[in-house]
Amino acid sequence: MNREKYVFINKKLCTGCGDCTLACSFEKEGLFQPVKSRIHIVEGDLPGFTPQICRNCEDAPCLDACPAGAIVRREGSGSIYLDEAKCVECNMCIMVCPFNAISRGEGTNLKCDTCDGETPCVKSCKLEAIVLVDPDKDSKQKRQKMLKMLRQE
Amino acid sequence: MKIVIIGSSAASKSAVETLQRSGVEDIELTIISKDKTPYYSRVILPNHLAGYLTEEELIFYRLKSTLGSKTEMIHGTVTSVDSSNRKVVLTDGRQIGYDRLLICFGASPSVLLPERIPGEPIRGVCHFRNIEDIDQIREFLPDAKECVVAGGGLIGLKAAVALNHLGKHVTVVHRSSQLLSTFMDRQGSEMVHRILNQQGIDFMLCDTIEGYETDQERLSGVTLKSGKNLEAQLVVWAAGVSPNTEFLKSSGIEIDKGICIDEYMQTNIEGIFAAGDVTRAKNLLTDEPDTITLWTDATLQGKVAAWNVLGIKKRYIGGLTMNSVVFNNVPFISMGIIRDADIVNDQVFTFLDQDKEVYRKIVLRDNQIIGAVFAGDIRYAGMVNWDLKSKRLVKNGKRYVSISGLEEVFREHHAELMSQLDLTIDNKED
Repeated sequence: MNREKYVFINKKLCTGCGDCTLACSFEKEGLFQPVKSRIHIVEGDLPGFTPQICRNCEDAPCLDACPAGAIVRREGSGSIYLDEAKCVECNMCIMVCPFNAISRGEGTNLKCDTCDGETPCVKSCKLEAIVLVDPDKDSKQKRQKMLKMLRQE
Repeated sequence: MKIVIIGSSAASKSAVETLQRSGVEDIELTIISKDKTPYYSRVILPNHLAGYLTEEELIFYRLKSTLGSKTEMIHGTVTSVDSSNRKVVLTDGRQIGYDRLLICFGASPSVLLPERIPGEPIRGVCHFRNIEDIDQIREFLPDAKECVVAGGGLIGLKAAVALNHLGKHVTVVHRSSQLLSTFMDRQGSEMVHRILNQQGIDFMLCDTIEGYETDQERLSGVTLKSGKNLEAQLVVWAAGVSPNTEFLKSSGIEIDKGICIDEYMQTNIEGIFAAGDVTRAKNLLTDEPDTITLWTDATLQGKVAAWNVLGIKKRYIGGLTMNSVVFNNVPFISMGIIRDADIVNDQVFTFLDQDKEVYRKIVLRDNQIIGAVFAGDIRYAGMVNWDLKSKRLVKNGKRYVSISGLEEVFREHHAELMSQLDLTIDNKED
C-alpha cells in the first residue's frame, strides 16, 4: 500500500489525450465515462491542456466547508479524503474549491482519493505526466523552490 | 497554556484542529459542551428528520488527544464568565480556570414558541435548530397530517422537503414575497418555488402566523395575518437565529447583537476570543459588522481565533454570505450580493436555459465580482468564489456565465498561477 502519496499532474507534459479520465472512471465506476472521472481536462484557446485534480491543499477550503464530516485530512500523508459513504451532496465543497476538483456524482460527490496508491491514472499516462508524489518530499521541494524565488527577489 | 473553548460545533471543531495541528506543545485544552452528542452537524438535521441519517451519523468530528497536549471534554452549561479571575462558572457550580478563553456558543432561534398558558407550550409547535427539536417534531409526527413551516428561508425549505418526504402535506408561510429572500435573487427563487410546488409543497407568501388554535392541549390550526386559517397538527418554526450571549451579561464583554470582536477575533477583554454564530464580525463585502451565521464562516473564524489564542497574529478577512442547497437534484449556489434590491449601478451578467434549468448570474462592481448565482450547473462555483474573495479584476464578466467562458478563465488562472509560482515537480519517483 502506498497510502502516503498523492497524485500530481504535470501540466507541462499533459497532451490532453484523456486516457487518465477513462482509466479513473473505469476504476471508480466500472464505466468508461470521463464525466465520472476524478480528473477532468480543460481544453481551450490557450496552448496546452489544464488538468483538474485535487491538490490536497494544506489549508483546504473543502475540509472547512463540509458540514457532514465527510471530508477529512488523512493521518500521515495529510492528504484530503472524501468519504463517499458520509457525503450528503450538499455541494458546500464545490462552492469553495478554487480548482474545480470536486464534481457531482450520484449519491455522493466525487474527488480523487489516490486509490490507496494503486493508481490506474498514473499507469495510463503514456507521457508520465501523472506522478505519485511523496508529501514530505513534495513540500521540501516546494520550500526549496520558494526559497530560491525569494532569494532572487 | 490552559485554553477553554465553550461550544462544540463548527467553530469549535476548526479551532481544536488548528490548535492541535499548530505544533505548539503544552496546551491544556478543555471543551465545554452542553450537547448530549458533541460535534453533531446542524446543517444536516433535515437529512436526520427525513430518516436518511441516524443521530450517530450526524457527528462530524470526534475529539482526539494529540501528543504533547491534553484534551478534555466537559459536559455542562456555562452560566457566567468571571473575566477578572479568569474562570468560567457552570450551572452545577463547577468553576474552570483559563489562560485563554474561546467562546463558540452559537446562536438560537429568535422566535419564542407560543404558550397555551404561561409556562406551558402548545403541543405541536417546534423549532428546527437542535437535535432535541427533531426529537420533539418526531413526537408529534404520527398525528400530524397537515404541517406548517414558518419561514421560507433555506432551513425552512429544507424542513418542508423533509416533512414532505415523510408523506405530510406541508404549507410554508413566508413573510416576504419571494422565497429564500436572503439566499437567492428572484429568478433563482422562482426556480426553487416551481420545483417545490411540483413536489406538492404549498406556499403562503407575504404572510405570517398570528394565532394558534388548539384542541385540548394539542395544536389544531393556525391563523394567518391575512385572515386565512390553516389546519395544522404541527408547526415548525425556522425563521432566523440570534447569538447566544445571555450568559455573558455580567462578564464585561462588549455585545451588540453578537459578541463584538476585532480582526484578530479578540473581544474587548484581553485573552477572551469568540468565533462562529455567536459573533458580530466584519462582512467582507460591506466592511460593516454583521452576524453571518454560516458553517463556512464559523470554521474560518474558529481557525483564525485559534491562531490568535496561541499568540500567533492572523487576521480575519471578513465573512462572506454564501450557501449551497439541492432541491429535487437541482443544485443551487449563491454568494455575495445577489438580491435584486441590493444591486444598484452594478454590472449584471446572466445566462438562463429554462428547459435545462440552468441559470448563472454574476454581479460586478468596479470590475470586481461581488455576487454570483449558480443553478442547475454549479461547475466552477468554487473558482468564482475565490475570485470574489481575492477581489480579482474582471475585464469580461460575460465569460463568467458560460461554461466555455469559465473554462477559459480557469485556464488563465492556472497559467498565471504556474508562471508566478512555478512549483511544478518535474521529478518522478526514485
